[in-house]
Amino acid sequence: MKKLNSYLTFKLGDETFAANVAHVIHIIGVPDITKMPNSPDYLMGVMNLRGQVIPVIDPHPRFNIESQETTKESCIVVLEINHDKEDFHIGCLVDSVHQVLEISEELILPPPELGVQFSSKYIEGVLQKSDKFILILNINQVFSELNISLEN
Amino acid sequence: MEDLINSFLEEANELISELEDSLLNLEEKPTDKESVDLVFRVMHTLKGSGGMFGFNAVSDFTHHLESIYNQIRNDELVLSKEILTLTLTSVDLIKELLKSSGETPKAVQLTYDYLVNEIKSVSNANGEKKTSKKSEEPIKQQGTKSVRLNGINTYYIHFEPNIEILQNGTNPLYLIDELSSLGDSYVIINTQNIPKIDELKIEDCYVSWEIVLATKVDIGDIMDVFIFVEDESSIDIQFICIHNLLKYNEFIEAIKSYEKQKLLLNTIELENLGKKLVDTLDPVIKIEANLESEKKEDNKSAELEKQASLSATSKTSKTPTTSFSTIRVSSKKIETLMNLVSEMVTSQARLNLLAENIKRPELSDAVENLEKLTRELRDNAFEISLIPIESMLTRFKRLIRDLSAEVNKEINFSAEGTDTELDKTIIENLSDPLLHLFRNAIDHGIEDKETRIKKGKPETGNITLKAFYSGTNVLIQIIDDGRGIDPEIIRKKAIEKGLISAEDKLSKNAIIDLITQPGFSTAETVTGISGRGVGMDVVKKNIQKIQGELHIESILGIGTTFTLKLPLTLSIIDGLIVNIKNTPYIIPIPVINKIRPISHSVVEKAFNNTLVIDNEQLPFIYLRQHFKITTPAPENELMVVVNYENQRMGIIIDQVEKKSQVVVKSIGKQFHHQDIISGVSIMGNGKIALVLDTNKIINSIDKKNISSNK
Repeated sequence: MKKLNSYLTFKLGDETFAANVAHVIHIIGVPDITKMPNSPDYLMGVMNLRGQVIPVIDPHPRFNIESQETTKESCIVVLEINHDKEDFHIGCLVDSVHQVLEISEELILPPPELGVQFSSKYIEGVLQKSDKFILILNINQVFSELNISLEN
Repeated sequence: MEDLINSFLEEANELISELEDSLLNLEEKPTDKESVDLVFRVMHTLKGSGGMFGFNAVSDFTHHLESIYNQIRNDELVLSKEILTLTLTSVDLIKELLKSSGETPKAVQLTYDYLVNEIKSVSNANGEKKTSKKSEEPIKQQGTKSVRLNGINTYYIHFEPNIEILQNGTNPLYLIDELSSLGDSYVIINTQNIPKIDELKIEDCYVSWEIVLATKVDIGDIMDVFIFVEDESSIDIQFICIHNLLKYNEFIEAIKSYEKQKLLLNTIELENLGKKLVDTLDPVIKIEANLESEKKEDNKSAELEKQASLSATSKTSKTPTTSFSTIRVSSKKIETLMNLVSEMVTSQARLNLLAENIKRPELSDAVENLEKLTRELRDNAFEISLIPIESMLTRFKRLIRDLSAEVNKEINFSAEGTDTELDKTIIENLSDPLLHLFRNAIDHGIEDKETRIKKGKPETGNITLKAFYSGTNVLIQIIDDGRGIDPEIIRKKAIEKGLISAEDKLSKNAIIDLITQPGFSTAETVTGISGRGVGMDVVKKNIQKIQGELHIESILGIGTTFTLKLPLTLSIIDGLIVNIKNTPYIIPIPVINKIRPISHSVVEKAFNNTLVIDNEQLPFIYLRQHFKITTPAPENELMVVVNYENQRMGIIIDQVEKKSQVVVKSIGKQFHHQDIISGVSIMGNGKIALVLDTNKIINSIDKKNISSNK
């Protein structure tokens, strides 16, 4: 039996990324974000999600993509991340959200060894769709590392 | 499994504090049977569950202890002060053992061996006495009575377990089995209370038992079978007759006829029947039996009276247990509830805003009503997370008992208003400072016996803990009737230590307050208890950490009163919402001294971040600078002057928005690098404001000053 996984695709700049929907909790418009003073640039601040205070990060710098102006297409994808045996939520600013793809596991190619732009450890795999590549993110890796750097 | 162990540890700690409590009780009233029973029961539980979770050392150890208390329960041993002290030390060991599952540290092992020996010697010494007594007994008895009827008596037992008994894992059938193992028995089961099948709850127990038991053991031992269920079940044990009546068919027939009619056994009839049957016995036994029964008659009336009083007490204590007067909830669930409630409060604020704008009377009505409910819900929810001060009391009692023995002072401890409640986090942070204050009171406050007598005071010193509400605060006072604080000595010491200069003129209270300065200790000799120089300053700091205040009042020769002023809860504060570059921040109102306009150019020109305001040199923190905000500042800024201990400092902000009651939420783990922000709060418009921790701001400035001085 083929194993199907669902992925949410979104854009950062011109690149298309995908995240396993198991990690996706909410997709919301960009709310008021309160900046935390003395924070690194990728940490945008905190937002209020129905009474929960959630940190919001800007993933662009991580992938060497220039941060974009916030448009009406911009979204916050709220992800659940497991780090140190603890689950926590983190908001992730993306430029637009596209669709949910059902992808069978065989179609996912291993990440390119020599990633020019992106460190391959954040990429779980690559999916070719027509002439474009979609990068499947290793969510725990990307964001828990952010988290560690925040804690330090 | 780990979860189970954790919940065992939690339970064990609760049990131990219960144990300590009853031990201290016993110290005052050594004959209190209830406390002895409780001690025994707690040990028994610890032994059982300890073994179950791999704490074999705990289980073995409590086994030894338990045997002492078993002897006390059976009146074979008198509870002495030595035994109590031994038990309390043992409780400490059990605490240690619980900390270390598996490997036992060497030091602990040594105490363990030592205590086991001590315990054994206590119980064995008694055992010898007991055997010698026993060997005398039969001779005495032979003198008075020629024949005994093998000592077998017939009893009637009615056992009606609590309907919820199955829920705590008790299987009543085991109890019946245990009873049957004591001798011959005839068991009748009463099933008429079982409801129809559609009303039947499978987790409830509807049956009751009647047992006729012929046994050698006495009523007390039969009662012991029910030791773990006696509080919640109705148990009736009656003596019917000497001799084993179950040997007679007639008797069994009589019981069976009752059983068929589904009636409860009539004990009086059974008794009469028993007498009749005994009459038919051979004359020697008969006479003996009559003698015996006369004696038993006396005993029985006493027994009956006891039974009556017992059932009366068990009835009063029964009601609360059956109806679950308390439930145990994990603090995580309460936290969730609090979060929901505070979110509701914020949504309510938004709704109010909306209703005001729309101006429809029907809407306003509904919103107003909802607001009332929200407020009530909030108050109730916050009340849930409150814990009475009583929860700390056992620890204090224990400390006072141990310390007063150590320094050889007699001290009477009393507590008032222990039902006063405080937020859980406050209670957690309060016990250390309070313990320290008690230590001080015992070591420095209360004089030794001779001095007290010389001064015409009662021999026994008094320490009182008083707690009460005062507005939105709780006041806790620790009052001793000791020697009081001598301002002159403090003054001299302070000059010696360079805290004040000889010319400084200070009020009496200001001088006494000096003892809360770091590095101040007046105890002439450092004892094991206090006087190591870290003391009152740490107490004060810890109390400030939970936004409390410490006041000291003392009258020389009469006594000292320490007053702690504490907020009811840490999660709602009165805050001033201020603005820096459109980001809202909250400064807690209680620390604010004044707000004063200041122009940006003055701030910029200030040397070493210090300004002279109203003839006072004020260090300040320029938040724009601290937060590395580069956008140009407004021309007119504001300085909020805050108090901290005896210091003042300024915080420069852009503008003040409003005063508001805010619900403080803890800041996520991700933001632990934040140095001066202690939490966040969601405001009425859904935006998040950051709560400034003024204590930390001041400390960070202090540190900077120190490093720049270097």
